[in-house]
Amino acid sequence: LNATDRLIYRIAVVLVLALVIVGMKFMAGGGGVVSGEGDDMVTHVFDSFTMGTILSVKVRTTDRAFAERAAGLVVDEVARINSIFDPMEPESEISRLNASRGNGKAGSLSREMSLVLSSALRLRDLSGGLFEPALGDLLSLWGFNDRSSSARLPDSLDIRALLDSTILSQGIVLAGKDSVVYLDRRAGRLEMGGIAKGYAVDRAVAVLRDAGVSNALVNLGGEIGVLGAGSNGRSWRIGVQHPRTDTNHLGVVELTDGMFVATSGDYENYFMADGRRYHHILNPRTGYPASCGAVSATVVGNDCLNADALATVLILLGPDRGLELLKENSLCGLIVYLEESGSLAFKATENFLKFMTPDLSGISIH
Amino acid sequence: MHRAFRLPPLFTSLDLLLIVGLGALVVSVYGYRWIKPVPPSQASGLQVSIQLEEEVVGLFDLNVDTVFTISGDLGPVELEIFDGSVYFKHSSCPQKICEKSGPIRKRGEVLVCAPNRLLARIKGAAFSNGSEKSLDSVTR
Repeated sequence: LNATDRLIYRIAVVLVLALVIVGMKFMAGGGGVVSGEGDDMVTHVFDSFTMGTILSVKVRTTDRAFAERAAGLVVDEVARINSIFDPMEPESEISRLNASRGNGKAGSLSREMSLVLSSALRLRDLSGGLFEPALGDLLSLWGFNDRSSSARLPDSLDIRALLDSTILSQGIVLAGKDSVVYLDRRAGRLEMGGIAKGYAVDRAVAVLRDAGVSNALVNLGGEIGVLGAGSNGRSWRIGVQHPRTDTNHLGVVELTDGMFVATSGDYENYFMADGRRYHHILNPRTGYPASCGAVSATVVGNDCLNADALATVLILLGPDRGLELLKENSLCGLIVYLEESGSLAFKATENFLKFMTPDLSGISIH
Repeated sequence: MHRAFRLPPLFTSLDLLLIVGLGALVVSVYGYRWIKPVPPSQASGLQVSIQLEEEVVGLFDLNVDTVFTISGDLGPVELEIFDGSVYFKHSSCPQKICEKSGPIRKRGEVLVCAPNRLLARIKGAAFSNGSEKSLDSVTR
């Protein structure tokens, strides 16, 4: 070989070795570019506390100042919605409605209260009366909505007396295209935490879209809505909390633009007494926590108001009736429940499993 | 007369020295990892960020077992980092929801004590080489 050929061979050898090194680096898992830095897109995270939980806004953009302004708009919007639906705030619209029970007068509703309240009543009917927006008095008896003391097991006689004294949301009458409300003296105290957070997420995502944000995620206490895509450039990867082991997830739901996911379960707001778990999702017929076996339910949809409420409905209905409701209404959801043996099992609609990469090891499929 | 057949010399001694040198470099950089597997949290440099309201008040290595106390809105809150995870050990809040909602160990996971306005978030590098296993958020 002449000198030129040898030089070509040497260069080839060095290139091959360089490729081997790069390959090994990736195999070792240490060579990735920190997400967002490679293409100048960065996920900016903004956390704040509102509606009794954490509001996390993630905006994916090259411009931090823009992300900060957009997140600020979300914080303001959610605070505004909280000022309507916070039953602990004396000046909120929901507090004024509760105070008007039995005054014999019809009152006007704001457009947003009308939307959320009429949706809640529709979901009540869809669930056969199990989803109940006027359960504030019962929640107070249990202490689940008490911000100064812990939840406790009430006397069964007190529960019975309370249920006998109220007709809950049957005492709420909407009229004038849902813009006017009449609250009977025996109506239950409105508390719509199970649906208002979902509505707040809907509004938060709308505010971000109006502000020109392309890629963002809003998480309000576990209820989530997204715009565009996350760090993988295709979707936002959302872990679904395992109801019994905190270090695991049931799987990963991949949400794309305009999708929402909400989860309800018996594993966050609960207490143990006499070896039993008492959680905050109360059955309005018995006055006690739902006990149909469902321990966790996740719903994916095109809005969070319905997804949030439906996840609660599924816990109240249990796995069999819950799955029926999902199928009859072409909804997308997952219900995890306890079998008689004490082991976990799940039921899901076919379309839900299209969104989710499951990691349901140890959980039976039915 | 026979003439002995000889392959043309592809490499000089300098080439061989270069190859051995690069090989040694690869072994020295990655050999330790091959010998001793690195825990996932350590491999990705995970940390726990503690926020009070919107202010970050602490940043802890998820691989160093630690117990620390943060003063929340209602009083002291004790968190523990143990075996690559973090959880609320004791909280001054009335409902104790935070104590029932841990531990967490994966990037993107969050623990909250809303009454104390305290948040623990697992942070760390995410890889864009197709091995992305971390989460953007968690529904619960």
